[in-house]
Amino acid sequence: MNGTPHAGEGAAALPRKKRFENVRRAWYKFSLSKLSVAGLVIICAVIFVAVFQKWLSPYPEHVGAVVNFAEASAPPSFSHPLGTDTIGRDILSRILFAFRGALTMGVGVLAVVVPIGGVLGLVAGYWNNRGVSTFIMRLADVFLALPALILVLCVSSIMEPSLRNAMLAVCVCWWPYYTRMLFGIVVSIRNETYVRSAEILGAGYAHILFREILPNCLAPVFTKMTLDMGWAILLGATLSFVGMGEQAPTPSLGAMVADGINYLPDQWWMSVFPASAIMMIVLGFNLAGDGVKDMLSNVE
Amino acid sequence: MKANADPRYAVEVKDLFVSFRTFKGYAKVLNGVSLHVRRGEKISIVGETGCGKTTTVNAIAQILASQARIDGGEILFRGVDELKMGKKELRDLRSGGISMIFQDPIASLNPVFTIGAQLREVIRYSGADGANNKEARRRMAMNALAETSLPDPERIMENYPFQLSGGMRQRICIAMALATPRDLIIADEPTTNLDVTIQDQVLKTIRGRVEDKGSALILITHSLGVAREVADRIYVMYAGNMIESAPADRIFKKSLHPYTQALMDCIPKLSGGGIAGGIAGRVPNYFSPPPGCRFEPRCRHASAICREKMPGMSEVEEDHSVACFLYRDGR
Amino acid sequence: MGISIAKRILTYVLVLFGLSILIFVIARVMPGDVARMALGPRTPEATVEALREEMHLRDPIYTQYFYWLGDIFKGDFGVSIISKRPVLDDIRIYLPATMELVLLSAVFTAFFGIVLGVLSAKYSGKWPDAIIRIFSYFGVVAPAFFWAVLVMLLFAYLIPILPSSGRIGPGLTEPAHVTGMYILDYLLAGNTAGAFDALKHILMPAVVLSFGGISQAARITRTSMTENMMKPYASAERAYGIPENKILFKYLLRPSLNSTISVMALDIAGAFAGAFLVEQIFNYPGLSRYCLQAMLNKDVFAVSAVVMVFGVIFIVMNFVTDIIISVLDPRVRLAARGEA
Repeated sequence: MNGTPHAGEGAAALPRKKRFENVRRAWYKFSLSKLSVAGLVIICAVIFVAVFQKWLSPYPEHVGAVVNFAEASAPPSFSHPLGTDTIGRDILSRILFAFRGALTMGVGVLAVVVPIGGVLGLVAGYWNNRGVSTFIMRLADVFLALPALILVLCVSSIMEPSLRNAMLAVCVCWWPYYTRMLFGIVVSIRNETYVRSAEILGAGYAHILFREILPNCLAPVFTKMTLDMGWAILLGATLSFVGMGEQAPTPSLGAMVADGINYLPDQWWMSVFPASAIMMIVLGFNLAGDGVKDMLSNVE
Repeated sequence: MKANADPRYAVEVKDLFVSFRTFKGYAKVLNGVSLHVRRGEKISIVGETGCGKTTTVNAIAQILASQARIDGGEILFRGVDELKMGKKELRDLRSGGISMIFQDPIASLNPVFTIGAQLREVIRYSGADGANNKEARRRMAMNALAETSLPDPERIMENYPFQLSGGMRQRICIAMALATPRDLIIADEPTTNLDVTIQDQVLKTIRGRVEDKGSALILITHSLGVAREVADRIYVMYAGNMIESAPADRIFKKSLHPYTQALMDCIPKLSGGGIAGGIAGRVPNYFSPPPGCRFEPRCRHASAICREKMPGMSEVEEDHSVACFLYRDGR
Repeated sequence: MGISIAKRILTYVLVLFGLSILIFVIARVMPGDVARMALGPRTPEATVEALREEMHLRDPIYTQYFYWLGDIFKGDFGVSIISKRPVLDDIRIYLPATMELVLLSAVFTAFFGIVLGVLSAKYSGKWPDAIIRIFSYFGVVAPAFFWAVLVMLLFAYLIPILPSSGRIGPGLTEPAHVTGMYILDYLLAGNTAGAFDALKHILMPAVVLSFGGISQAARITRTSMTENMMKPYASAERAYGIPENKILFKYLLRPSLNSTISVMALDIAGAFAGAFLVEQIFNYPGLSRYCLQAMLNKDVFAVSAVVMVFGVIFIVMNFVTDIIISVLDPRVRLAARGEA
């Protein structure tokens, strides 16, 4: 009905112009919601800060085991905008540094989980109703039977606490979410004509899986990845909150909250600011994720 | 408001402008559409996909999508402008006045309620006599199903939509639309999604039921053949404008607008001549329409004036109007 | 329908079996020397050796697994290293506390989630929608400990009307153990003051725990409601003059509930996980806090047993969810019947 606006260009348009047009349309759809743009701005700001924290933070040396009792437990002030912790370290500087760990967590986990979970899902979906598929999907079911947090805590509790092990624990528990997602999509499209015709033309499995099927699964995967960046960071923070993440003296947001809670309500800044920082990062990825979803949807 | 309304008309649309919000800006979908349906008359709106047929009738039924904006015009139903109605009046309009049959019978029935429950609910809010009585509602629902020649209404009442075939579902939609007396029935491409073999039956059912109840009908279709079979009068629509209206037989005998003529040529004829060449070009730009006639780029009779001015509808004979400079005096 | 239920139960049993292997591997195989870890470095070698013997640690892995599984079936979950009591006894004490907490938060989730979601869809694009959406955004993105900190600061310190930790006030004695849920037990004993005190203690953690679920449920309800609003049947119902509120709460909510309920089931499962943090912060003596303590202290017996209990709870919950959905949605119900 109202789908005609682009009639009249389409076929005749140059490929390059078309690509530009697609980018423009994608950006239009993304920017339709100001919240999505706000999310993108938050993400960019966090990345910027994480990269340049050395020059941005007022007391870069406070990320280590510095002790400064003269200014211990000071409330927010000009010299320490977010206050100091119990041994006098600047909380702002520590939060800015902790962004690094948080981003490492998110990127690292997704970099491992998406390819592994994704390929398993592709394979299980394509060879649905075969032994491989049953095995992969039942295995995924087992991992999905418990909420991710419980399983992650379980796995990381048997390892030495560190950022790397926290990431590892999250990876162990997270791949099935991508497997299940891709499995569902692949099963629904594996009998589409374009897949069938590629099979009839004698295309290899790699071609069918990665050139025919995969591109048609990507939209929801990208959306999920954006959202999951936030969740992975949140899980990381939760792990360090209970003491299974990055170890002192390296700052991590979860651990800062955990330490700060003991000084509620008088020294509220010790827990409230790091907690807000976590929330802001997750919020950023969530807002942007909704934007990505709008951007990749077919609805005008 | 009532002063300028014609009492013979079931509905009258005057100079309706509607646009849709899209990523490129507002698409002007209707550009001053006017039409009227007399009481008990069956009309059909014919046009290509995207020419604004559905938008026109959705505006009449007041169920336009949220990104639509009405930029001007009047829709007079029972002599009152719908666009100025309050919530309460709108509800009255819907309950007793207008009902719709949609293109997709699968999606136009609620998937999680039985046919009977949905039918009874529609009757309940129809304002018909006895609609307040539970038993009467049931009887009316059964009647409505039986009248559309659905077999075993008892059983169908207990069924869910997904348990029935497409043709049956469309009949149920017809039954629903006509369960109680209505002034106007709108059928939006009611046969497009159905099997060819049952399209004809469904059309006959619609026509028969509308005639029985004495309602007026607006049938939307992109097929002139379908329109001729059902309608007394046909409107031809192109790119958001009405371009010709005439009694059904007349439009087949002597169509005037070049676009209508081209559409006629597209109908494959049994007498030979093979499949027609179609109409060259595409539906024009909706975003910044040029000032002239919208069909001008594709028209083989186009002249200078067609590029400068939009021709309005003018009556060339009784009941036969056309929007084309070819038929203006002094051209 | 009978066959499909049997099939589903079989799948769940299979998953449970798989889960038991997973937990066994995580808690008993990966740590290496479980007995030494459990008893700590200062315990004499002989004691550790005795434990190894008792746990069949000298046997091959799969034999160990079957011993472990057999013990669980016999109700022997081992002895907790921290509490020095049989793990099963600990579970009996702590599980009802967590159940009480999660159930209460599930009630909040179901009620507020659906109501807020429908309102949000109804006022889509207007200010009530904006407020609800902003709230649900924050509910989703903010970690449980953020809300815990905030709510505690607010209601325990700034406006001190609610206690910040524990299950009952210091002046009260525990109710007689019937269900293990204090509010219920007090009520059964006719002690309304006690029930009220227990409610006051549980209120903050339960509310904090339900924030995430409410937000998720509201968002998914809003999404599927607005999606359904665009379906032709919604237009049809409107065109037939059915009142707007009836369309909303009856004809649009019913088909939308499917996704809401599946999400809500996940949220309630998530509440058990969230309880790991919330119980910790509010010092609420539940099973999640117990499990977290066990994890932090490498109490492998307790961890593997408690996690297994959680596994069973979630699988039962999944099953119940499936049944609720099939009762509510004729498409699912009748499709299942057709299969049998």
